Amino acid sequence: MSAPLMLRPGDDIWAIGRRHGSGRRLLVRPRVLFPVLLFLLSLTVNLAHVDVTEFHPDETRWLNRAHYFTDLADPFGPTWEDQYLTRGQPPLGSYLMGLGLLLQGRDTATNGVWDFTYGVEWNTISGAMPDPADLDAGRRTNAVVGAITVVLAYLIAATLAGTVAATATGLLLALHPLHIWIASQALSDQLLILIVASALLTIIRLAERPSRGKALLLGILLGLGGATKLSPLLLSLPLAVYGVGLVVLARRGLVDRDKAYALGPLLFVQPVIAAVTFVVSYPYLWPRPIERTWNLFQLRTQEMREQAAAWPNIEIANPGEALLRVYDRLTWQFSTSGNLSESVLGLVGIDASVWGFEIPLAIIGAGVLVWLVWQRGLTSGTALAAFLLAGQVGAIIVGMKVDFYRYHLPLVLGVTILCGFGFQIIWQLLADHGAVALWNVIPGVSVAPVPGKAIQPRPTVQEDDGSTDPSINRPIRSGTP
Amino acid sequence: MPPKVSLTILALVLLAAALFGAVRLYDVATTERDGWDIFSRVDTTTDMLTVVPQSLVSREDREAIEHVVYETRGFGIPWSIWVVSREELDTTLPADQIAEQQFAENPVESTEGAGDGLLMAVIVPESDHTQTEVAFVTGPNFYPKGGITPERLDYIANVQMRILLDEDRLGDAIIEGATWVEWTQLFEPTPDPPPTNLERGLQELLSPLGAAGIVGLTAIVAGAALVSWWITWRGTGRNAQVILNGATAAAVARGRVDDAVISGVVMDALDRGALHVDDRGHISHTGGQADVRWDSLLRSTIDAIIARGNEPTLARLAHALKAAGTLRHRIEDELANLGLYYPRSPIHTLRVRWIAAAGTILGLIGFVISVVGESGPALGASVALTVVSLVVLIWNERRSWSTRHGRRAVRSWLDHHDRHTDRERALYEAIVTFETIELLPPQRSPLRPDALPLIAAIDR
Repeated sequence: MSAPLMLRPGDDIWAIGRRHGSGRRLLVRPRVLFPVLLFLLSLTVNLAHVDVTEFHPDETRWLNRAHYFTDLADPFGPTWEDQYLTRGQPPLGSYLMGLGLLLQGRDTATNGVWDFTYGVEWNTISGAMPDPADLDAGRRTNAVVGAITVVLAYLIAATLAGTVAATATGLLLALHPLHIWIASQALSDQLLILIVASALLTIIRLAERPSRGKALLLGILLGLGGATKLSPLLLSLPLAVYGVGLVVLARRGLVDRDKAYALGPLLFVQPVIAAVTFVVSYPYLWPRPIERTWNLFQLRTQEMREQAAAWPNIEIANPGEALLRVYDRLTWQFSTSGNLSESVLGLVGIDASVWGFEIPLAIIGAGVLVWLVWQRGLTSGTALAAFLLAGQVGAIIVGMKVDFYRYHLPLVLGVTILCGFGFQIIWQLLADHGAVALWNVIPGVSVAPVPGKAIQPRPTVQEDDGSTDPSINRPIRSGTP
Repeated sequence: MPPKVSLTILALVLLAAALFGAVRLYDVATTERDGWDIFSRVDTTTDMLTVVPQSLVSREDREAIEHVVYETRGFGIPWSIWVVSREELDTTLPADQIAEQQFAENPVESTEGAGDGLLMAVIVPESDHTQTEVAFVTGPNFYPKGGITPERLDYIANVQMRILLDEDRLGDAIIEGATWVEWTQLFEPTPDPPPTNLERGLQELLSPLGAAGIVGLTAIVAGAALVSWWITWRGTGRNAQVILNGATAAAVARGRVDDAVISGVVMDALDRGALHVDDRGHISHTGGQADVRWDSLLRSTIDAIIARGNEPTLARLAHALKAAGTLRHRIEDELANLGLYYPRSPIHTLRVRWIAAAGTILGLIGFVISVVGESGPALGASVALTVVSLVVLIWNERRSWSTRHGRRAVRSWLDHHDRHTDRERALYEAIVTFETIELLPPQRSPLRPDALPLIAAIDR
């Protein structure tokens, strides 16, 4: 086939070409460049912390179970018997560690099991302390996972709101102290938010153009999320209810009927796809899938209770208290804005603990998101993404019985995306009021105000890269994100 | 099978699975576990620690040992530790026999007669603690529970405790031994229980006969796809004088007459002025009898929509054309007559679809049977059958039905329509790149602006 016709501004013809056609020139556009830069920034920061982040005994458990990955070749072997370790955590984080170690030239025979009943000395003598090379390899694996998550967060915000929101989201997440901390430890929490972010992006695309393939992918991601930290598995249930709700609303003419009829069944089958994926991914579950899945949830609940009993100072009595803990953690302890401000003040010799403004900004962003859902409708990707995000955040808030730092990581993803929306709206307001003219106070500078680019209530899916006049380069697709 | 019937069957299967799962989950959640469980605390009437005389072990060490035993009972082991001076026993029997006598006289068990307990007996010569002997004795129903095995208990006694006993650290050795009992119970893999009769029978059936059978089924599915592809590629041998237009060339290039081709045909009719869209978005035709391309079919479809009392929108027209399938069949027949397209594509599609669907279901059934029978080779073969069948199923729905001759004809057609301003070429590109079209506003265009809202309206 000859080369597709090119888009050539200035040609007085209709030009029809493939957006990803081989003949198209490779252009460096913000929507390509920014994610690449954010990936590199996040990866660099994460890797720089691999050697300095303090050791946590939990890392030993994930490294110890790295052999799960190679033991998949023997799915009826002793590894997958009913025992404390197989009940203790679902397996995907362990698979990731195994894969990461193998890719970095290590093997999956690592340290012994760390027994939290005893101290570092006993565990070290018992062989539970990982080899530094294994620990570093596991941490580097998560550094990459963390950097990919930043890119996914960028893409989510770009699709829902725009480049300003996306860039703010990416930067806030890449530089977030909790994100950096966990992305430089050999744990499974980074993998969890990678999968949650992937599911968010997939559900947006699913709403944009419903298809069985995307529905299958969404269900698989939710199942894999369950195979990482259990909670995403439960998100498939409210999604199924959402699907039924859409069909009911469509019958009453309250939502876009065609879209609702296309989306409803695809959402309804999510629990089945997620459950099958979850079971298939874990040979331990194969002999008795329901009973052993129950074992996993039961042990997590029991351990949460025991942890609360063991550390009463971090026990959380109810969701209200959990929200207060989240506010404290993400405002005073882990905050990109707070951290950056402290660093700047430190340069001028001021040692202060600075209030981080992410939570208030995220509240503004949540308002923007609600407005967007109202404008775009319940069949939009915005509504579905908001529902999924709210479900994940809600599950954590309701289920949090102890205030461990790593439990806050999925909340960081949500907060940074919402902050991006907040940034976008503030950016837009400032631009609309000619704030750019403030530059004119600098001698010799002359800047004319330009109207800001608003968040579109019903935009086309394709994010405008600003390379051409949007009125002459608008891709034609149905649906809104 | 009509889509609605297959969807109904699928929905019923899913509903049945969901109901079964929900009932089973309810059972699991509400039923008290009556057997042994690693997280079910057991308590016995036997003391956690007996030391005779008490002076053998210091008070701090006794408390530490009791703490470990208490914790270990929390992980489902009914067990006790008995530390006794050999001088108190007044016997020269070896430690394991003394331990068995003690267990027989004072059994350690969760309930009377359960025979599920564990005793660690530590026989200490008071004159020389480095000669202390350690023996474990278990009830007849102790194994397999958790990670403890006779070999692992031997290792604890003869290696892990021995090091400390040789250093004359009796208290530390007992604490260490108790700790390792707890650790082994929790973190060592539980030994695989001996296979049941059902498992043994299935293993014999599946390895290698069953596995070979499943591999054979995989070969049948793959073979069916391969034969289907080869028959199409070979073509019918016809080599008629080929006259293509933008829509038919695009249909051959896409390999099937799908929604994009149908939408493209409507766009073509709009562009030629055979159809018209008014300000309300209603589509109408100009009448007349001339059957340029498939105009008469489009006209009759619009008339049918109006006759049913519906508004003739673009979306409704596209929906009606896709649902009826008449336009698709006509284009397919025309292309088949020219030798560009395989004429029996629906039959082959259906056959391969059934074979692949059956392969998928059999693969899943094989997966379940392999898991029950714990047969690795059969499991691998079942996974392969499922994956191959799914790949064939997806390929079959998206594959090209164009013949060799058809592909050559398209290449030749493209060579003769290589100008950007060529109307038919523009139509071809619009259909072939249907999912990602970008249109620039025209000054002079091979396609008229009426086509602009079309794709957005019908591409749903």
